[in-house]
Amino acid sequence: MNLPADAKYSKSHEWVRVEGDLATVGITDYAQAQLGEVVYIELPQTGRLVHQDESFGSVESVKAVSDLISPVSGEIVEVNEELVDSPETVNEDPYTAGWMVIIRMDEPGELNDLLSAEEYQAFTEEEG
Amino acid sequence: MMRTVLNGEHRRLGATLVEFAGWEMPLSYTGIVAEALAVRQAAGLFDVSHMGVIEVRGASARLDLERLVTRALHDLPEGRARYALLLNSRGGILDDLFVYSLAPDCLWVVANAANAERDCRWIAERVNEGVQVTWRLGEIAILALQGPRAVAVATAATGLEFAPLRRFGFLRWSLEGQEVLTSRTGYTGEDGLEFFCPVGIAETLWRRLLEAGHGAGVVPCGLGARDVLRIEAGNVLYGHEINEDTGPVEANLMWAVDLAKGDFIGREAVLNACAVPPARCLVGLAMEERAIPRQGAPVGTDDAPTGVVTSGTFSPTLNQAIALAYLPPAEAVPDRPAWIELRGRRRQARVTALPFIRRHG
Repeated sequence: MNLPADAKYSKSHEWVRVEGDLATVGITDYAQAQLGEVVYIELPQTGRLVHQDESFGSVESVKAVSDLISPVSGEIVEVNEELVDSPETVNEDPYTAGWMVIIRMDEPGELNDLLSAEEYQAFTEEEG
Repeated sequence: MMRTVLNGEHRRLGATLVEFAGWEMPLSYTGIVAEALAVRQAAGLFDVSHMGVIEVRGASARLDLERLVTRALHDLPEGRARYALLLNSRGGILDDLFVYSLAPDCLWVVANAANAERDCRWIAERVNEGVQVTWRLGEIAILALQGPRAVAVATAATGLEFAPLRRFGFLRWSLEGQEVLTSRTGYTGEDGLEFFCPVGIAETLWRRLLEAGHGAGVVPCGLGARDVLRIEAGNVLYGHEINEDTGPVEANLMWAVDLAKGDFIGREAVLNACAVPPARCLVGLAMEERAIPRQGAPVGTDDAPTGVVTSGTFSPTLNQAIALAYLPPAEAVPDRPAWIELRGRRRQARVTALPFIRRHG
Protein backbone atom coordinates (compact mmCIF):
# COMPACT_ATOMS: atom_id res chain seq x y z
CA MET A 1 0.00 0.00 0.00
CA ASN A 2 1.21 3.43 -0.99
CA LEU A 3 1.38 5.75 2.06
CA PRO A 4 3.36 8.99 1.73
CA ALA A 5 5.19 9.77 4.97
CA ASP A 6 4.62 13.54 4.60
CA ALA A 7 0.83 13.18 4.98
CA LYS A 8 -1.45 12.62 7.97
CA TYR A 9 -4.36 10.22 7.90
CA SER A 10 -7.87 9.88 9.33
CA LYS A 11 -9.65 6.71 10.39
CA SER A 12 -12.27 7.50 7.74
CA HIS A 13 -9.49 7.08 5.14
CA GLU A 14 -8.72 10.66 4.12
CA TRP A 15 -5.19 12.01 3.85
CA VAL A 16 -4.11 15.57 4.70
CA ARG A 17 -1.06 17.51 3.61
CA VAL A 18 -0.43 20.81 5.40
CA GLU A 19 1.25 23.97 4.17
CA GLY A 20 0.91 26.85 6.62
CA ASP A 21 -2.79 27.05 7.49
CA LEU A 22 -3.87 25.25 4.30
CA ALA A 23 -4.78 21.55 4.44
CA THR A 24 -5.08 19.61 1.17
CA VAL A 25 -7.40 16.60 1.52
CA GLY A 26 -7.99 13.46 -0.53
CA ILE A 27 -8.74 9.78 0.03
CA THR A 28 -6.10 7.14 0.62
CA ASP A 29 -4.83 4.46 -1.72
CA TYR A 30 -6.43 1.93 0.64
CA ALA A 31 -9.82 3.68 0.35
CA GLN A 32 -9.75 3.85 -3.45
CA ALA A 33 -8.76 0.19 -3.67
CA GLN A 34 -11.64 -0.80 -1.38
CA LEU A 35 -14.12 1.19 -3.45
CA GLY A 36 -12.94 0.07 -6.87
CA GLU A 37 -13.34 2.29 -9.92
CA VAL A 38 -14.74 5.62 -8.79
CA VAL A 39 -17.54 6.75 -11.11
CA TYR A 40 -18.99 9.80 -9.33
CA ILE A 41 -17.58 12.40 -6.98
CA GLU A 42 -19.60 15.11 -5.26
CA LEU A 43 -17.57 18.01 -3.96
CA PRO A 44 -18.61 21.16 -2.07
CA GLN A 45 -18.63 24.78 -3.28
CA THR A 46 -15.69 26.93 -2.33
CA GLY A 47 -16.46 29.17 0.62
CA ARG A 48 -18.29 26.46 2.52
CA LEU A 49 -17.38 26.02 6.17
CA VAL A 50 -16.84 22.49 7.43
CA HIS A 51 -16.29 21.06 10.87
CA GLN A 52 -13.93 18.26 11.72
CA ASP A 53 -15.67 14.89 11.13
CA GLU A 54 -18.39 16.51 9.01
CA SER A 55 -19.25 15.17 5.54
CA PHE A 56 -18.20 17.54 2.74
CA GLY A 57 -19.05 15.32 -0.23
CA SER A 58 -19.18 11.76 -1.45
CA VAL A 59 -17.32 9.35 -3.63
CA GLU A 60 -19.17 6.55 -5.40
CA SER A 61 -18.21 3.32 -7.15
CA VAL A 62 -20.35 0.51 -8.55
CA LYS A 63 -19.84 -1.26 -5.22
CA ALA A 64 -20.60 1.49 -2.74
CA VAL A 65 -21.02 5.16 -1.94
CA SER A 66 -18.90 6.67 0.77
CA ASP A 67 -19.00 10.04 2.54
CA LEU A 68 -15.97 12.28 2.41
CA ILE A 69 -15.27 13.26 6.01
CA SER A 70 -13.35 16.41 6.78
CA PRO A 71 -10.30 15.71 8.94
CA VAL A 72 -10.13 19.38 10.06
CA SER A 73 -12.41 22.40 10.57
CA GLY A 74 -12.24 25.47 8.34
CA GLU A 75 -13.24 27.04 5.05
CA ILE A 76 -13.11 25.22 1.72
CA VAL A 77 -10.91 27.54 -0.34
CA GLU A 78 -10.27 25.35 -3.37
CA VAL A 79 -11.98 22.36 -5.01
CA ASN A 80 -10.50 19.98 -7.59
CA GLU A 81 -13.28 20.39 -10.18
CA GLU A 82 -11.41 18.22 -12.68
CA LEU A 83 -12.32 15.14 -10.67
CA VAL A 84 -16.01 15.56 -11.47
CA ASP A 85 -15.37 14.71 -15.13
CA SER A 86 -12.37 12.45 -14.51
CA PRO A 87 -13.21 10.53 -11.33
CA GLU A 88 -10.81 7.74 -12.32
CA THR A 89 -7.98 10.10 -11.31
CA VAL A 90 -8.78 9.20 -7.70
CA ASN A 91 -7.95 5.56 -8.45
CA GLU A 92 -4.90 6.33 -10.57
CA ASP A 93 -3.25 8.97 -8.42
CA PRO A 94 -4.98 9.37 -5.04
CA TYR A 95 -2.23 11.43 -3.36
CA THR A 96 -1.37 13.96 -6.07
CA ALA A 97 -3.72 14.61 -9.00
CA GLY A 98 -6.56 13.03 -6.99
CA TRP A 99 -6.64 15.73 -4.28
CA MET A 100 -10.18 16.87 -3.52
CA VAL A 101 -10.30 20.08 -1.52
CA ILE A 102 -8.07 22.62 0.20
CA ILE A 103 -9.27 23.77 3.60
CA ARG A 104 -8.08 26.93 5.39
CA MET A 105 -7.85 25.54 8.90
CA ASP A 106 -9.47 27.27 11.89
CA GLU A 107 -7.95 24.97 14.46
CA PRO A 108 -4.60 23.52 13.39
CA GLY A 109 -4.51 21.71 16.76
CA GLU A 110 -6.98 19.23 15.25
CA LEU A 111 -4.10 17.82 13.21
CA ASN A 112 -2.97 16.11 16.40
CA ASP A 113 -6.07 13.90 16.20
CA LEU A 114 -4.83 12.38 12.94
CA LEU A 115 -2.64 9.34 12.37
CA SER A 116 0.88 9.12 11.00
CA ALA A 117 1.51 6.90 7.96
CA GLU A 118 2.70 4.08 10.24
CA GLU A 119 -0.27 4.40 12.57
CA TYR A 120 -2.68 4.45 9.63
CA GLN A 121 -1.07 1.38 8.12
CA ALA A 122 -1.51 -0.49 11.40
CA PHE A 123 -5.11 0.72 11.55
CA THR A 124 -5.96 -0.58 8.06
CA GLU A 125 -4.31 -3.92 8.83
CA GLU A 126 -6.53 -4.28 11.90
CA GLU A 127 -9.59 -3.24 9.92
CA GLY A 128 -8.85 -5.44 6.92
CA MET B 1 -18.56 -20.80 3.09
CA MET B 2 -18.41 -23.04 0.01
CA ARG B 3 -15.69 -22.62 -2.61
CA THR B 4 -15.83 -23.52 -6.27
CA VAL B 5 -13.08 -25.69 -7.72
CA LEU B 6 -11.67 -22.54 -9.37
CA ASN B 7 -11.13 -20.70 -6.07
CA GLY B 8 -7.37 -21.18 -6.31
CA GLU B 9 -7.36 -19.67 -9.82
CA HIS B 10 -9.27 -16.63 -8.57
CA ARG B 11 -6.76 -16.09 -5.78
CA ARG B 12 -3.84 -16.55 -8.15
CA LEU B 13 -5.37 -13.90 -10.43
CA GLY B 14 -5.67 -11.49 -7.49
CA ALA B 15 -9.46 -11.41 -7.36
CA THR B 16 -11.37 -9.59 -4.64
CA LEU B 17 -13.47 -12.36 -3.13
CA VAL B 18 -16.89 -11.87 -1.55
CA GLU B 19 -19.61 -14.03 -0.04
CA PHE B 20 -22.54 -14.67 -2.36
CA ALA B 21 -25.38 -17.08 -1.50
CA GLY B 22 -23.08 -19.08 0.78
CA TRP B 23 -20.22 -19.20 -1.73
CA GLU B 24 -16.89 -17.39 -1.78
CA MET B 25 -16.90 -15.86 -5.27
CA PRO B 26 -14.78 -13.33 -7.19
CA LEU B 27 -16.35 -9.86 -7.16
CA SER B 28 -13.75 -8.55 -9.60
CA TYR B 29 -10.16 -9.04 -10.72
CA THR B 30 -9.06 -5.68 -12.08
CA GLY B 31 -12.25 -3.61 -11.77
CA ILE B 32 -15.98 -4.05 -12.26
CA VAL B 33 -16.28 -1.30 -14.89
CA ALA B 34 -13.29 -2.50 -16.93
CA GLU B 35 -14.53 -6.09 -16.86
CA ALA B 36 -18.08 -5.13 -17.92
CA LEU B 37 -16.67 -3.13 -20.84
CA ALA B 38 -14.43 -6.04 -21.88
CA VAL B 39 -17.52 -8.26 -22.19
CA ARG B 40 -19.29 -5.72 -24.40
CA GLN B 41 -16.22 -5.15 -26.59
CA ALA B 42 -14.42 -8.53 -26.61
CA ALA B 43 -15.37 -11.23 -24.11
CA GLY B 44 -15.08 -12.15 -20.45
CA LEU B 45 -14.76 -15.45 -18.62
CA PHE B 46 -16.85 -15.99 -15.49
CA ASP B 47 -16.84 -18.78 -12.93
CA VAL B 48 -20.51 -19.43 -12.18
CA SER B 49 -20.05 -22.82 -10.57
CA HIS B 50 -22.08 -21.66 -7.59
CA MET B 51 -25.21 -22.19 -9.68
CA GLY B 52 -26.96 -25.45 -8.91
CA VAL B 53 -27.22 -28.29 -11.42
CA ILE B 54 -30.17 -30.53 -10.51
CA GLU B 55 -30.46 -33.72 -12.51
CA VAL B 56 -33.97 -35.13 -12.99
CA ARG B 57 -33.81 -38.66 -14.37
CA GLY B 58 -36.37 -41.38 -14.96
CA ALA B 59 -39.08 -42.57 -17.33
CA SER B 60 -41.57 -39.87 -16.31
CA ALA B 61 -38.97 -37.18 -15.50
CA ARG B 62 -39.87 -34.96 -18.43
CA LEU B 63 -43.64 -34.94 -17.92
CA ASP B 64 -43.31 -34.69 -14.14
CA LEU B 65 -41.05 -31.66 -14.43
CA GLU B 66 -43.31 -30.11 -17.05
CA ARG B 67 -46.06 -29.92 -14.40
CA LEU B 68 -43.74 -27.88 -12.16
CA VAL B 69 -42.41 -25.26 -14.56
CA THR B 70 -43.96 -22.59 -16.78
CA ARG B 71 -42.71 -23.85 -20.15
CA ALA B 72 -43.40 -27.00 -22.16
CA LEU B 73 -40.75 -29.70 -21.93
CA HIS B 74 -42.37 -32.55 -23.90
CA ASP B 75 -41.31 -30.83 -27.13
CA LEU B 76 -37.87 -29.71 -25.97
CA PRO B 77 -35.46 -31.56 -28.28
CA GLU B 78 -32.33 -33.21 -26.98
CA GLY B 79 -29.51 -30.73 -27.18
CA ARG B 80 -31.61 -27.69 -26.36
CA ALA B 81 -32.23 -25.63 -23.23
CA ARG B 82 -35.23 -23.50 -22.29
CA TYR B 83 -35.71 -20.73 -19.74
CA ALA B 84 -38.61 -21.36 -17.35
CA LEU B 85 -39.98 -20.35 -13.97
CA LEU B 86 -40.74 -22.50 -10.96
CA LEU B 87 -43.91 -21.12 -9.34
CA ASN B 88 -45.71 -21.79 -6.09
CA SER B 89 -49.47 -22.32 -6.10
CA ARG B 90 -50.02 -18.58 -5.52
CA GLY B 91 -48.18 -17.87 -8.76
CA GLY B 92 -45.15 -16.48 -6.90
CA ILE B 93 -41.72 -17.17 -8.36
CA LEU B 94 -39.71 -19.77 -6.45
CA ASP B 95 -36.86 -19.57 -8.95
CA ASP B 96 -35.97 -18.89 -12.55
CA LEU B 97 -34.20 -21.74 -14.29
CA PHE B 98 -32.72 -23.14 -17.44
CA VAL B 99 -33.89 -26.66 -18.25
CA TYR B 100 -31.48 -28.68 -20.42
CA SER B 101 -32.74 -31.70 -22.35
CA LEU B 102 -29.93 -34.28 -22.25
CA ALA B 103 -31.94 -37.39 -23.12
CA PRO B 104 -35.62 -38.37 -23.27
CA ASP B 105 -35.40 -39.47 -19.63
CA CYS B 106 -32.76 -36.99 -18.38
CA LEU B 107 -32.99 -33.25 -17.81
CA TRP B 108 -30.80 -30.76 -16.03
CA VAL B 109 -32.30 -27.88 -14.12
CA VAL B 110 -29.83 -25.04 -13.65
CA ALA B 111 -30.89 -23.05 -10.61
CA ASN B 112 -29.82 -19.96 -8.73
CA ALA B 113 -27.21 -20.74 -6.05
CA ALA B 114 -29.38 -19.48 -3.21
CA ASN B 115 -32.32 -21.65 -4.29
CA ALA B 116 -30.71 -24.88 -5.49
CA GLU B 117 -31.31 -26.86 -2.30
CA ARG B 118 -34.94 -25.78 -2.00
CA ASP B 119 -35.62 -26.30 -5.72
CA CYS B 120 -34.19 -29.81 -5.46
CA ARG B 121 -36.43 -30.65 -2.53
CA TRP B 122 -39.47 -29.00 -4.19
CA ILE B 123 -38.98 -31.07 -7.35
CA ALA B 124 -38.11 -34.32 -5.53
CA GLU B 125 -41.31 -34.11 -3.46
CA ARG B 126 -43.45 -33.70 -6.59
CA VAL B 127 -42.18 -36.25 -9.10
CA ASN B 128 -43.41 -39.81 -9.49
CA GLU B 129 -41.68 -42.74 -7.86
CA GLY B 130 -38.77 -43.95 -9.91
CA VAL B 131 -37.64 -40.45 -10.89
CA GLN B 132 -34.34 -39.48 -9.30
CA VAL B 133 -33.72 -35.84 -8.45
CA THR B 134 -30.10 -35.08 -7.60
CA TRP B 135 -28.40 -31.75 -6.84
CA ARG B 136 -24.95 -32.39 -8.30
CA LEU B 137 -23.23 -30.17 -5.75
CA GLY B 138 -19.46 -30.21 -6.00
CA GLU B 139 -19.40 -32.33 -9.16
CA ILE B 140 -19.85 -29.83 -11.97
CA ALA B 141 -18.09 -26.55 -12.69
CA ILE B 142 -19.76 -23.91 -14.86
CA LEU B 143 -17.74 -21.40 -16.90
CA ALA B 144 -19.44 -18.63 -18.84
CA LEU B 145 -17.56 -17.09 -21.77
CA GLN B 146 -19.55 -14.03 -22.81
CA GLY B 147 -19.09 -11.35 -25.43
CA PRO B 148 -18.89 -10.83 -29.19
CA ARG B 149 -15.59 -12.76 -29.42
CA ALA B 150 -16.69 -15.66 -27.18
CA VAL B 151 -17.47 -18.15 -29.94
CA ALA B 152 -14.27 -17.51 -31.88
CA VAL B 153 -12.16 -17.76 -28.71
CA ALA B 154 -13.86 -21.00 -27.68
CA THR B 155 -13.08 -22.45 -31.09
CA ALA B 156 -9.46 -21.36 -30.83
CA ALA B 157 -9.22 -22.94 -27.37
CA THR B 158 -10.82 -26.28 -28.24
CA GLY B 159 -10.62 -26.77 -32.00
CA LEU B 160 -14.41 -27.24 -32.05
CA GLU B 161 -16.89 -25.27 -34.12
CA PHE B 162 -19.37 -23.50 -31.87
CA ALA B 163 -20.61 -21.03 -34.48
CA PRO B 164 -23.30 -23.41 -35.89
CA LEU B 165 -24.75 -23.81 -32.38
CA ARG B 166 -28.06 -21.96 -32.18
CA ARG B 167 -29.07 -19.79 -29.24
CA PHE B 168 -30.14 -22.13 -26.38
CA GLY B 169 -28.67 -25.14 -28.19
CA PHE B 170 -25.88 -27.20 -26.66
CA LEU B 171 -23.40 -29.84 -27.67
CA ARG B 172 -21.34 -32.36 -25.75
CA TRP B 173 -17.69 -33.01 -26.39
CA SER B 174 -14.73 -34.53 -24.67
CA LEU B 175 -11.79 -32.91 -22.90
CA GLU B 176 -9.10 -35.16 -21.38
CA GLY B 177 -11.54 -38.05 -21.66
CA GLN B 178 -14.29 -36.27 -19.75
CA GLU B 179 -17.56 -34.91 -21.09
CA VAL B 180 -18.13 -31.17 -21.39
CA LEU B 181 -21.54 -29.68 -22.20
CA THR B 182 -21.40 -26.31 -23.99
CA SER B 183 -24.52 -24.23 -24.54
CA ARG B 184 -25.12 -20.99 -26.44
CA THR B 185 -26.56 -19.29 -23.36
CA GLY B 186 -25.75 -16.49 -20.96
CA TYR B 187 -27.00 -13.73 -18.75
CA THR B 188 -25.10 -10.71 -20.01
CA GLY B 189 -27.09 -9.67 -23.07
CA GLU B 190 -24.17 -10.67 -25.30
CA ASP B 191 -23.57 -13.69 -27.47
CA GLY B 192 -21.77 -16.33 -25.47
CA LEU B 193 -21.28 -19.87 -24.28
CA GLU B 194 -21.60 -21.67 -20.99
CA PHE B 195 -19.46 -24.73 -20.27
CA PHE B 196 -20.55 -27.42 -17.81
CA CYS B 197 -17.70 -29.76 -16.98
CA PRO B 198 -16.61 -32.23 -14.30
CA VAL B 199 -14.71 -30.35 -11.59
CA GLY B 200 -11.54 -32.35 -12.37
CA ILE B 201 -10.98 -30.59 -15.70
CA ALA B 202 -12.36 -27.16 -14.77
CA GLU B 203 -8.95 -25.60 -14.17
CA THR B 204 -7.64 -26.89 -17.50
CA LEU B 205 -10.64 -25.51 -19.37
CA TRP B 206 -10.52 -22.16 -17.51
CA ARG B 207 -6.84 -21.68 -18.36
CA ARG B 208 -7.26 -22.79 -21.97
CA LEU B 209 -10.08 -20.30 -22.58
CA LEU B 210 -8.16 -17.47 -20.94
CA GLU B 211 -4.97 -18.24 -22.87
CA ALA B 212 -6.81 -18.54 -26.19
CA GLY B 213 -8.55 -15.25 -25.52
CA HIS B 214 -5.59 -13.31 -24.20
CA GLY B 215 -4.71 -11.62 -27.49
CA ALA B 216 -8.38 -10.96 -28.23
CA GLY B 217 -8.95 -8.93 -25.06
CA VAL B 218 -10.66 -11.67 -23.04
CA VAL B 219 -10.35 -11.13 -19.29
CA PRO B 220 -11.57 -12.98 -16.21
CA CYS B 221 -14.71 -11.30 -14.86
CA GLY B 222 -16.36 -11.40 -11.47
CA LEU B 223 -19.88 -11.21 -10.16
CA GLY B 224 -19.68 -7.40 -10.05
CA ALA B 225 -19.43 -7.16 -13.84
CA ARG B 226 -22.02 -9.90 -14.24
CA ASP B 227 -24.48 -7.80 -12.24
CA VAL B 228 -23.78 -4.64 -14.28
CA LEU B 229 -24.23 -6.55 -17.55
CA ARG B 230 -27.46 -8.27 -16.57
CA ILE B 231 -28.99 -4.99 -15.37
CA GLU B 232 -28.02 -3.32 -18.66
CA ALA B 233 -29.66 -6.27 -20.46
CA GLY B 234 -32.79 -5.95 -18.28
CA ASN B 235 -32.39 -9.49 -16.94
CA VAL B 236 -34.04 -10.19 -13.59
CA LEU B 237 -32.17 -11.59 -10.60
CA TYR B 238 -33.73 -13.68 -7.87
CA GLY B 239 -33.86 -11.77 -4.60
CA HIS B 240 -33.97 -8.46 -6.48
CA GLU B 241 -36.67 -8.30 -9.18
CA ILE B 242 -38.24 -11.66 -8.44
CA ASN B 243 -39.12 -13.64 -5.32
CA GLU B 244 -41.94 -15.76 -3.91
CA ASP B 245 -44.21 -12.73 -3.61
CA THR B 246 -43.67 -11.61 -7.22
CA GLY B 247 -45.47 -13.12 -10.17
CA PRO B 248 -44.52 -13.33 -13.85
CA VAL B 249 -47.08 -10.70 -14.91
CA GLU B 250 -45.59 -7.85 -12.88
CA ALA B 251 -42.01 -9.06 -13.50
CA ASN B 252 -42.49 -8.82 -17.27
CA LEU B 253 -41.85 -12.55 -17.63
CA MET B 254 -45.01 -13.72 -19.37
CA TRP B 255 -42.86 -14.57 -22.41
CA ALA B 256 -41.52 -17.40 -20.22
CA VAL B 257 -44.98 -18.71 -19.31
CA ASP B 258 -46.81 -21.09 -21.65
CA LEU B 259 -50.42 -21.09 -20.46
CA ALA B 260 -51.52 -23.33 -23.32
CA LYS B 261 -49.22 -26.25 -22.60
CA GLY B 262 -51.38 -27.93 -19.92
CA ASP B 263 -51.58 -27.64 -16.17
CA PHE B 264 -48.65 -26.70 -13.96
CA ILE B 265 -48.30 -25.43 -10.41
CA GLY B 266 -49.21 -21.74 -10.32
CA ARG B 267 -51.06 -21.73 -13.66
CA GLU B 268 -54.43 -20.85 -12.17
CA ALA B 269 -52.93 -18.04 -10.10
CA VAL B 270 -51.23 -16.62 -13.20
CA LEU B 271 -54.50 -16.79 -15.16
CA ASN B 272 -56.22 -14.88 -12.35
CA ALA B 273 -53.42 -12.32 -12.30
CA CYS B 274 -53.79 -11.83 -16.06
CA ALA B 275 -57.49 -11.04 -15.64
CA VAL B 276 -56.89 -7.87 -13.62
CA PRO B 277 -54.55 -4.92 -14.15
CA PRO B 278 -51.29 -5.49 -12.26
CA ALA B 279 -50.59 -3.29 -9.22
CA ARG B 280 -47.03 -2.68 -10.40
CA CYS B 281 -44.72 -3.51 -13.23
CA LEU B 282 -41.00 -3.71 -13.81
CA VAL B 283 -39.41 -0.75 -15.59
CA GLY B 284 -36.03 0.72 -16.30
CA LEU B 285 -34.93 4.05 -14.85
CA ALA B 286 -32.05 6.08 -16.25
CA MET B 287 -30.51 8.61 -13.87
CA GLU B 288 -30.20 12.21 -14.96
CA GLU B 289 -27.93 13.02 -12.01
CA ARG B 290 -24.62 11.59 -10.94
CA ALA B 291 -25.70 9.06 -8.32
CA ILE B 292 -26.15 5.30 -8.40
CA PRO B 293 -29.57 3.93 -7.40
CA ARG B 294 -29.43 1.15 -4.80
CA GLN B 295 -31.84 -1.69 -4.03
CA GLY B 296 -34.68 -0.51 -1.77
CA ALA B 297 -34.53 3.17 -2.74
CA PRO B 298 -38.01 4.78 -2.97
CA VAL B 299 -39.18 5.88 -6.44
CA GLY B 300 -41.96 8.16 -7.66
CA THR B 301 -43.02 10.12 -10.71
CA ASP B 302 -45.24 12.55 -8.84
CA ASP B 303 -45.02 13.77 -5.28
CA ALA B 304 -45.68 10.54 -3.41
CA PRO B 305 -43.33 7.56 -3.47
CA THR B 306 -45.08 4.82 -5.46
CA GLY B 307 -42.34 2.35 -6.22
CA VAL B 308 -39.00 0.89 -5.25
CA VAL B 309 -35.62 0.19 -6.85
CA THR B 310 -34.83 -3.53 -7.11
CA SER B 311 -31.34 -3.21 -8.67
CA GLY B 312 -29.14 -0.28 -9.55
CA THR B 313 -25.72 0.23 -11.02
CA PHE B 314 -23.50 2.41 -13.16
CA SER B 315 -23.68 1.44 -16.82
CA PRO B 316 -20.22 1.90 -18.35
CA THR B 317 -21.67 1.40 -21.83
CA LEU B 318 -24.20 4.24 -21.41
CA ASN B 319 -21.92 6.20 -19.06
CA GLN B 320 -24.97 6.70 -16.88
CA ALA B 321 -26.43 5.23 -13.71
CA ILE B 322 -29.43 2.94 -14.28
CA ALA B 323 -31.93 0.96 -12.23
CA LEU B 324 -34.62 -1.66 -12.42
CA ALA B 325 -37.67 -0.72 -10.37
CA TYR B 326 -41.33 -1.44 -9.79
CA LEU B 327 -43.87 1.30 -10.51
CA PRO B 328 -47.66 1.37 -10.89
CA PRO B 329 -48.59 0.81 -14.58
CA ALA B 330 -49.96 4.33 -14.95
CA GLU B 331 -46.50 5.71 -14.09
CA ALA B 332 -44.47 3.08 -15.93
CA VAL B 333 -44.45 5.09 -19.14
CA PRO B 334 -41.18 5.49 -21.08
CA ASP B 335 -39.71 9.00 -20.95
CA ARG B 336 -41.82 9.99 -17.93
CA PRO B 337 -39.72 12.00 -15.45
CA ALA B 338 -39.15 10.19 -12.17
CA TRP B 339 -37.18 10.59 -8.98
CA ILE B 340 -35.23 8.17 -6.83
CA GLU B 341 -34.53 8.98 -3.21
CA LEU B 342 -30.87 8.32 -2.44
CA ARG B 343 -29.31 9.16 0.90
CA GLY B 344 -32.22 11.45 1.78
CA ARG B 345 -32.29 13.37 -1.52
CA ARG B 346 -34.63 13.00 -4.46
CA ARG B 347 -32.51 12.65 -7.58
CA GLN B 348 -33.84 13.08 -11.11
CA ALA B 349 -34.33 10.04 -13.35
CA ARG B 350 -36.44 9.03 -16.32
CA VAL B 351 -38.53 5.92 -17.00
CA THR B 352 -36.88 3.89 -19.77
CA ALA B 353 -37.96 0.90 -21.84
CA LEU B 354 -36.06 -2.32 -21.17
CA PRO B 355 -33.51 -3.52 -22.04
CA PHE B 356 -31.15 -0.58 -21.65
CA ILE B 357 -28.75 -2.20 -24.11
CA ARG B 358 -29.56 -4.46 -27.02
CA ARG B 359 -27.03 -6.87 -28.41
CA HIS B 360 -25.47 -5.69 -31.63
CA GLY B 361 -25.22 -8.04 -34.58
